[in-house]
Amino acid sequence: MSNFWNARKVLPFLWMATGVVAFTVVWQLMSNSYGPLLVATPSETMVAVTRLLTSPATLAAFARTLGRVLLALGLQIVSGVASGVLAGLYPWVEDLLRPVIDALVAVPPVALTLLVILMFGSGDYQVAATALALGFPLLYTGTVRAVRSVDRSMLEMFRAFRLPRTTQLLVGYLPATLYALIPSILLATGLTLRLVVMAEVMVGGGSGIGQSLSEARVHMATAEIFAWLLVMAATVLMIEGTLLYLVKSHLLKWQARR
Amino acid sequence: MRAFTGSRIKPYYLLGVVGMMLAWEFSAVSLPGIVPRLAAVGSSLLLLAQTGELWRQLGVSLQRSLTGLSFGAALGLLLGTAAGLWKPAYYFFKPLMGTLLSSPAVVVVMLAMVWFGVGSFMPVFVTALFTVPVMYVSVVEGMELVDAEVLEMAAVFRISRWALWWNIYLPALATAVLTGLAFAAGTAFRKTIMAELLGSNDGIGYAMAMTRFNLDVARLFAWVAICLCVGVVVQRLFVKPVASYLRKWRDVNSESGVVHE
Repeated sequence: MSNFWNARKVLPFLWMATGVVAFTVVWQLMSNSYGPLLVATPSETMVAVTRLLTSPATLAAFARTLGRVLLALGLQIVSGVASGVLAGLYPWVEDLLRPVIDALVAVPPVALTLLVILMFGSGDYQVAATALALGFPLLYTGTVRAVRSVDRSMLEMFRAFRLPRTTQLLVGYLPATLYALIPSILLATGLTLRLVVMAEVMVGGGSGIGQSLSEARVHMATAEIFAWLLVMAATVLMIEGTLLYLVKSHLLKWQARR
Repeated sequence: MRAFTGSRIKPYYLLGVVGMMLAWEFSAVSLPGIVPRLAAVGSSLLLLAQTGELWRQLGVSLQRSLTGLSFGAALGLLLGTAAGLWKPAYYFFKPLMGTLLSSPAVVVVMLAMVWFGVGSFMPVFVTALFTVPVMYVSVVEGMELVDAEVLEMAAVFRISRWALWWNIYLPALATAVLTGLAFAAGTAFRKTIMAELLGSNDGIGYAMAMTRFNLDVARLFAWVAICLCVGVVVQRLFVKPVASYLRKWRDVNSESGVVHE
């Protein structure tokens, strides 16, 4: 019991709860002064959240968006790791790809999305392609850094035992790289969800969360917009939390084995 | 990235640029009517510069992002300092900052469109709102770097509160503000463009949205090139120098320092 009431552990949560309560109160006050049409009340928003999470139509939109996110994320990982390993091993490949990465990092995502829509139309693959292009630099740079940080002594051992290059790559580089990549994948997941929703909003007339949002804006249904905002923030936090948990438990096992 | 700041331009970097141009020209030739030729984009760019449209819209967008950036940075600095000095404040703001950092900007743009309508205030608001957490995180992290041992030593030697601020907190804060501004500068411009594109009646974002209706891909590419120039200038003038300066002190990864759409 004394362990549970450890002030060091409980106080942060208490303060966070105070924060949540305080912002809810401020939110309610704003809603009172500006009217529920412009600022939906917290309770209206909670009703909208439960509606979103129970109605089949919005769940389908949610699933559609998540499907696109997973497609884009998978493509990001495959292309990012493949090119990142090459660039990590051969510096000239890194120099060669540098302009592409520079351009992708500097371009405003909305602009790229608009370009894709204007040139290739709108659809599942176009949305995923946009998210792929914009999330790719993150995984690429993560992989390059991971490859560079592969244990030197292990590589020397590989060389001493004259293991073939493919074995070196599969047994040495790939596991270590994938492992070091986990933080980048975490960052990329949240980014990709936001990118996909943005692309969906811009495509217009499609499906997914973005479409529901556009409809909500047209109807000035602020409760619905707030609800999507909360649901999406919670989703991102949940994905990151789960992955973080997996990483931690895996890390402990991995370290124990060594 | 090192190509410009380094002593010499790497040959493979240039090869990459040339390769990109060639790939573009090749796809323009093989997909006529979809991808515009480089020359068409160039003449669009020239036309934008000659008619003065380029400078007008660029001025509008830059002014909006700078206004949003300053307001957001000021608020982020204020909240970040409070959270850095007093741990309960850090936990108090944690849910709000977490929500802001993980929420899609496009949703906030839609809310702001409902609230403020289509005009100059909406992009400024969105830009400021997304600058706040960037600055906040930077300031909190910067204050965390203030060594506990140094503080203890200061207490032992009974250093005055004023001297403590002047010699310990202020340098740490200055570095943190610099980092936050550098990281936020890039995001601020993107946020402004996004807000303008979705709901404004001038600025670069608006000009881009117009190309959609006119189906003028060459002009859209021209605007994208202008955005790239702004992005590269911001990156080279602010982000890279600050990151390389900070790398002496701690591990900073300028690419993933701020990950936002």
